[in-house]
Amino acid sequence: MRTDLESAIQTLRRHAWDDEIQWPQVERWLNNFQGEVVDREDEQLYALYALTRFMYFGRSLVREMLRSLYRDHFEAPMKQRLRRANNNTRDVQLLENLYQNELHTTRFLGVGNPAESGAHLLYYFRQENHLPKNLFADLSSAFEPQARNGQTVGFVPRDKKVKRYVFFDDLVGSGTQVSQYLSGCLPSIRAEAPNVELAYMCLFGTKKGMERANEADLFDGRAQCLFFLDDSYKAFEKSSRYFQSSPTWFSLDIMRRIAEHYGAKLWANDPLGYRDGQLLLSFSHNTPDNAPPIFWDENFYVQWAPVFLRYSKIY
Amino acid sequence: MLIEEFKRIYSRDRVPVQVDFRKLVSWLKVGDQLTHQIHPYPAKLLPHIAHFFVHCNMHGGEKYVLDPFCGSGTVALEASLAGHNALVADANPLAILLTRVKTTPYNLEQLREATKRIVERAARLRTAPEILVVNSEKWYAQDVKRRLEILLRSIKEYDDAEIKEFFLVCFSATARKVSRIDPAIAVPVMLRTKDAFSEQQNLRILERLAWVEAARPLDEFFRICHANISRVEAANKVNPGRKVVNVVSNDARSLSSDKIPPAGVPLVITSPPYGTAQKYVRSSSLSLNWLELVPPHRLAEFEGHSIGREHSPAYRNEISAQALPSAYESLLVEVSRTNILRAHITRQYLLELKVALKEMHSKCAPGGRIVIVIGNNEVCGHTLFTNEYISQAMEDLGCQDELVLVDQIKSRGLLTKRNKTASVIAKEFIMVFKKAK
Ligand SMILES: C[S@@+](CC[C@H](N)C(=O)[O-])C[C@H]1O[C@@H](n2cnc3c(N)ncnc32)[C@H](O)[C@@H]1O
Repeated sequence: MRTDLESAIQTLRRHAWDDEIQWPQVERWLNNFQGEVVDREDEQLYALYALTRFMYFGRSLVREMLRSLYRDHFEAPMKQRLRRANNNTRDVQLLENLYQNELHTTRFLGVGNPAESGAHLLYYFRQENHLPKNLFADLSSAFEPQARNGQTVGFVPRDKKVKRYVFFDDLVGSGTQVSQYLSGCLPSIRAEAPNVELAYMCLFGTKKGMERANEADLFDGRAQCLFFLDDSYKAFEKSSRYFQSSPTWFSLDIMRRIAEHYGAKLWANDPLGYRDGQLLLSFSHNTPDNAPPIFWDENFYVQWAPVFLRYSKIY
Repeated sequence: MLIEEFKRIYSRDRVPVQVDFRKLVSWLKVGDQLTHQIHPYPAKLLPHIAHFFVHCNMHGGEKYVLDPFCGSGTVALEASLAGHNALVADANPLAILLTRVKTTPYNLEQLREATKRIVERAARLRTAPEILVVNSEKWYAQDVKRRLEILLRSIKEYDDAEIKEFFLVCFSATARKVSRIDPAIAVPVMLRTKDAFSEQQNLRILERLAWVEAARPLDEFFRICHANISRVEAANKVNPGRKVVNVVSNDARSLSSDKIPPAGVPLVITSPPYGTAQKYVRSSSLSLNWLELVPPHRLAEFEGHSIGREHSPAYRNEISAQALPSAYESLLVEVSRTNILRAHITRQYLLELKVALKEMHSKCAPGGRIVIVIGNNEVCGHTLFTNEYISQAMEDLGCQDELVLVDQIKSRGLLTKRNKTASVIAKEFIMVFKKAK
């Protein structure tokens, strides 16, 4: 059984993971499981099995997704809009000119701190889609702080020619982050510049995260994602899709106990990932902390070898 | 001018003129934003008061403003925004750090670049030296503390010293924000729900506690940096050429003479520590530890050097037998009936305060003004009239009181009521003395 799983991982490694995870790394990770919940052998079997269910997106896949996000969620709908606004014109050149105008009055911004994967990904997004550098900004260079009556600080766009700001991220999990960063300033930007469009786009969005992002104080219905992760992506719940057709020896309950037990040593309050994320999801450039820490944490108090990395260097 | 009007009323009635500085200086539009709020500090002065006197033009010629108890630098910032040279002193190194950072006209691009570099580096670092913080297990989840240490390492390894200070301030604000400390109380106290609170209030507390448990220090730090950069930007707009403060001492009782113009400073504005009420050292203990300005085991000794301390350590027992004015002597007799220690601390406070007043007087230019902002407090149920004590002391030094204002300030109620012997200070006196020519 173990050999079956091992060879499954080897195949994944080579074909789906672009050789980005080396086998010794997997072995070191398996060694973290030393039989504190069930037998050591069984724990490692569960760990291996969970790894085969993990959604890992290597470099080439991520780049493909970034192209598709731009093409299908920005360029195509925009061109359609322009065509409609111009009597359904079939003049390709005209349309292209109009589109370029729109594009150049758009700014793409990352959400969150510059070490977060969203910010890195924005860089690849620009490369992949051959976009000029001046279309990219960050919060403080795009918006100017304002004080009124000595009290409230609001924000206004610095460049009055910009018509739309598209906030960009790789994943919206609990929605806490996007809300902490932006719920303070988006309403004031809206109040100051009602004609400016504020939109959000990301590769993956959970149900909860997308709901939050689409609330009135954030993107008010203008948040979209390439892949929608419904509640079946919560790995250790009954409805989990990751472990649907599992082998007979597998018990979701034991799986959860193992993840929780070791997870709690690493991240006491969120043993299954940030805000109980339970996402089995990682990218070659980063593992979101919504994934259970047993997969990615490099702890300082507890000896632990991660299998995926958080915050790896820009490739 | 308004000040002339006040002076006229005061010289006629000789009773404190009632004012409300918030209304009086309502034209202070951006004044209480700017860099005033970059970091919490206990008993901050209302910026309006500093703004008002800095702009009063009671002093001609050379533009120097001295604040020997500068605290978080409210006076210094208003002075430097108004184009003056701010000279400051404070016993608390956190106060000096805040004051310097507040008054520095940083280059915004540099700050933005540095934020990015520091945050990215912190995200990749895996280890950092442990920082000793008093009661840290109580305030932090293990994981949060570790992340803070890594972040601090990244900041410390930044090369530009002036810029580094800005980020140390942001860090210190972050370390407080992601702790389990009650944000409404100046001294570190655990945030807890209480039966006495409304359901809604308790719900908010629970929410905040849950937030703290899963807080991501790096995220919070980034947000605070971003907010503080906006504040610097706003201050830069008011006066891009403002001058950074000059630190003249760490003790108001002895100010260095070589940094103060030999002719003296034309304007002193200061709010000395309050009697026995404020807990400056304890309320900044977390920051002092984190920034390694004072390690945990030296906090008590450090407190011994500040005026208005909470304790009276044995090793500073050189209590002078010097007599106080008779009204205060009899007050202390009353106090010592209930609490000898309090009486002792109060005596020490009053005597030390007098030394500081003498020192600022000697550094003031002839014909210059000394503006003192002080509240009264209670010691064991007796009101300590610090304002009258100061008036008397200044008169003894040959100063005339030109004006006394009184403001019904409640904003400085950073006092805890837990200590029954020190109660809330309701009013604040603003006294203007003129040094004889
Ligand atoms: C009322 S606070 C000043 C607040 C300040 N005006 C502000 O707006 O933040 C008094 C200050 O006196 C300082 N202090 C106490 N003893 C001192 C001493 N011997 N020399 C200088 N400063 C001292 C305390 O550290 C504290 O910051």
